[in-house]
Amino acid sequence: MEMQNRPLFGPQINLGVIASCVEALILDGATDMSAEHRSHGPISTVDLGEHERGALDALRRRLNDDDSGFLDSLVNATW
Amino acid sequence: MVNIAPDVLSQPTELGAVVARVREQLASAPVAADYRSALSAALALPGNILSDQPNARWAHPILTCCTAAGGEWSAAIAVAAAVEVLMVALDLLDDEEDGETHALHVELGASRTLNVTTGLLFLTQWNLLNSTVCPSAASILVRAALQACSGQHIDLSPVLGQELSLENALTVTQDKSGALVAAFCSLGALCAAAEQRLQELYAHFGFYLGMIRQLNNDIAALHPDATAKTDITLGRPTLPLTYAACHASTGGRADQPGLWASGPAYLTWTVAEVYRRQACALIPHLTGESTSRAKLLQLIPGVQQIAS
Repeated sequence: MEMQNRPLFGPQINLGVIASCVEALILDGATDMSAEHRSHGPISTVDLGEHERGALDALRRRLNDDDSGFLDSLVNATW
Repeated sequence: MVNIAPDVLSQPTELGAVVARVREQLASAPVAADYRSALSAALALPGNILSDQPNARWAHPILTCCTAAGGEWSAAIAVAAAVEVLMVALDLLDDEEDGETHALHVELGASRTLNVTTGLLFLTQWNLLNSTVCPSAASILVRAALQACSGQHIDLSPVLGQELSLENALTVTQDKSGALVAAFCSLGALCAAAEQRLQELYAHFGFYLGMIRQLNNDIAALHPDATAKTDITLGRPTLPLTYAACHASTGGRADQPGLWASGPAYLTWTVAEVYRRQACALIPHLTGESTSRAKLLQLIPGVQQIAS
């Protein structure tokens, strides 16, 4: 895909690592993002920025707290 | 395009000023009465700026950014009106491209509806030509609109033949939605006569807003009850659907129950959350005034979740 002439805003999001972490959270119930996980093997979060770590931690807390309605509240606000 | 949740301006006088500006520009346009009525009908569709209950969802961030950047909201009325008109045009085009039926299409048919959208695009320029910040504002807006059209082109292209990756999906979102709201917030700062560096920071802020709102919208389209959403049926390369498709093409994960409340939605929520945090962190650099900071914070969708 052509990537020229597009303004870039802020640090680029490390989608690959975030996707692996999300999968580890869902599939393995991971609580330590830097550990080796059943589904993905080792995940290196060393390149993640502060906001990426914070967002993953927020997701982890919601999944661990069984806050299953958090997506619904988002939908209700969007529709 | 972005589907922003209904919102209202904090002061009725601000909303009234935007509505008055749109009416004034529409009245001054050199068009026949019948065509003017058709343009007016488009602008009066539910939620639009000339409707009974306009939500002013696009004017709101422009005026808020203008005042936060140290300007008077009245300085941004012309630009806010132009953007409201532009977004009506883009929404109508979006519906036509997706084959979605709406009241104007039923009344006018496809050809005249397209002609109305063309007129709205020029009415946007008409609005800007008669503003004090033209041509700078026109330059910002046209650039963003072209970028949005570019993203829309990829969005409408057959999925087959496209390189399927999360990065590409996010790039489409950036072009379609991030760039537009970036321009809106930058325009607010421009109207406040903010220096270039501050305008760029406001553009960053708007970019985050646009991304959050579009990603929220993409998540909403996954909900089992989202029958009006066409992302899934039309195979749009949104971030969650691309994530799901990537997994399907690599053997898939049988233990993922579906699109809703599973990997695609959670990944997208997490990415939106990253943008939310970036937007929040940027606010202290936009203004030192506490009331303005609070108003900018209110522009960020779902920001209350960060504190929980």
